[in-house]
Amino acid sequence: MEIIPQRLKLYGEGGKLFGIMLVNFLLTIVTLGLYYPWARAKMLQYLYGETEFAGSRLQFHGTGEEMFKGFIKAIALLGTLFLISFLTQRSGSLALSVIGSLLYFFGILLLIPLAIHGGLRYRMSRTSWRGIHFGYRGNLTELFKIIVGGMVLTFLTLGIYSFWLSIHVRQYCIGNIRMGNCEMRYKGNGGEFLWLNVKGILLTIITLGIYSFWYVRDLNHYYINNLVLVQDGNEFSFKSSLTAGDIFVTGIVNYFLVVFTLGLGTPWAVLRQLRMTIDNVELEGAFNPETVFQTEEDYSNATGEDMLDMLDIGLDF
Amino acid sequence: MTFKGKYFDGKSSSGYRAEVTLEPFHIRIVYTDAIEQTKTVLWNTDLVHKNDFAEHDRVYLKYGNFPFEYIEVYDKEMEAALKTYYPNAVFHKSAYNKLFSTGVAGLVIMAAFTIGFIALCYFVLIPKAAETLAGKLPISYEKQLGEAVYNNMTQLEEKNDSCSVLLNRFFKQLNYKTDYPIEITVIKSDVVNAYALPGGRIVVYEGILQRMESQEELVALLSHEFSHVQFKHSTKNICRSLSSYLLISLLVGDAGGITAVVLQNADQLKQLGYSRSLEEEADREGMKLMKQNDIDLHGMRHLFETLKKQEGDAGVPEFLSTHPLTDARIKAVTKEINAGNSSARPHPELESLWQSIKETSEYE
Repeated sequence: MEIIPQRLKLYGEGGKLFGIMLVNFLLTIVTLGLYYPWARAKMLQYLYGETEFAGSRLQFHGTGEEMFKGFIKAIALLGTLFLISFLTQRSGSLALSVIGSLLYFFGILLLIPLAIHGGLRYRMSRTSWRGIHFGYRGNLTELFKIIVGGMVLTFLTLGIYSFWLSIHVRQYCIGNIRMGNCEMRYKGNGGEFLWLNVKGILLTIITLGIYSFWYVRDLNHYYINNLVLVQDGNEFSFKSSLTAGDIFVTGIVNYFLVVFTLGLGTPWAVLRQLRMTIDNVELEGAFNPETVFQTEEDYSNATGEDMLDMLDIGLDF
Repeated sequence: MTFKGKYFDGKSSSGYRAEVTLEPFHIRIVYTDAIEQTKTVLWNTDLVHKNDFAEHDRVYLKYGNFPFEYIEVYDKEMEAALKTYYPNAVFHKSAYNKLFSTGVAGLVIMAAFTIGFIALCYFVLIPKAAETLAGKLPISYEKQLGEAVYNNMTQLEEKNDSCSVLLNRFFKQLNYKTDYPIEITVIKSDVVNAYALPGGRIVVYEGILQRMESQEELVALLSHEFSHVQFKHSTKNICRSLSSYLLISLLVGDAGGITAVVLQNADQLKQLGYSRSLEEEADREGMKLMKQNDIDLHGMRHLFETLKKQEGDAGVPEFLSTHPLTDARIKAVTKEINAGNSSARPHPELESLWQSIKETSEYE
């Protein structure tokens, strides 16, 4: 039997995305921002629905209501931290205001693992393909240890450890993602990742920025090509065929698309950017799309998802 | 009406070929499963969800609670048929979809409406709200704000302390009634400028003092700046920029950096970015104060004329750049003088203080 690699493909029309963004924008303005969680849900529903894997579309099931509840909780959490810091600043006591600032700083740091954990659980649970839901089975305590321990080591090594930290988080998070009975794995390692970055940064400087396109390509390949899908004990690797030329052309065209339309071209640029990444991905080997079974449980708490959005951390693997 | 589609049972990823029939109150799905058995499921239309954004040639429906059953139908007719068969079904009742499906004309109207709404907020509602807010702010808060801006702006400037003392004494002689603790600072610089901050601080540059020829001009300047303080012009300005900034960050989706705005405003204040109407109000109120104290209104006219001369030989001085056109201001004062509203009596204390101020503001 001939083995056909399964591809990822992004459909989607700029005009339609423009309409969605416009309606979102309008409703968000008119509701003084309260509509934002619904707007985000619509956006994700559209983009997931336009993403095809092995001939079938992804689906995002998250709802505005869920994300609104999460939004309120996330605001309450971040707001409390902010309030503490604000009140201690105003108290006039130096000691108190130092304690307040530290509390704020470490509070945000500690919220990061919580946000990633909650965000992944929600996002995965709300994503399905052929009716099979994704899931995240990570343990908060373990993620916490990885991130906080990694931050301490990063601090002690003056930042060098951050490359290992980044890879460990990726390994842990991706390693706990399920698509029904299929598992995911990430095979990168910190040393390689450090070298890739050192090389990328040095060459970018030496070539006055020209190498940056190859640097971005290398990063993309390092993220995608180390990604593995495990089905019934068989490993299938993802492979990216993104080239530096793609990045250059997409970047230039998008720049003009946005600047010369005073931002109105943004939806088209967003789609071009996503398409560049997604359409270059394929899954090598004889993955069988017919034999994936439902295994994951429901999870409807969107606090982490919203917190990630507020802290501006992406869930893009 | 029957359509061909693919059915996913929410347990396995293998899709089954299915016949989808629209019947009253439910959708009937007949499919052949993996072991060639024919099965039937009925979907209660109340529990069906429809994807809002599917392309026009297909329909995606899901059913029930997690994990969902799911059908894909690739048929252009399906969408219309669903509407005909289940006109009142819950899955049609997406307000979003109604907005969204209004087509190009609808979107254009919505865009126009949005822009209009934003413009209304930006030009009318926000300035109004900000001014109301500014009017309600307690003086202590204004003082705090003014202090922060003052420290930020005068950090690198050299102050003329003895002249500042005299100017404050000069101002006290005028006996203007106010709840604000007015404090005047003189800066050693030949810049022809003066500005007022929220909460009572007034900053005067030596350059403007040197170009004045009479005490009445100084009274005019201080009355003008005092009116800015008394009528909360700077506070209104800051509130206005702050709320405009909030609106813009809401639009752009970036709520960060709000704290930087107040300090950004410090720079704007330096250029005295008041609106024409606020400047005119300060002139008007300044003149009123002068009249109450029997100070010759010619002082204000001389001040403007001095500044206008400045305009001629040094380009547009900072003090004037955003002020109402000098000619218009001179006209307004002249009108007031001609109306016979100006009275004058001698002020020996002011006169002697003025002499000392002239002597101490010796910046070269």
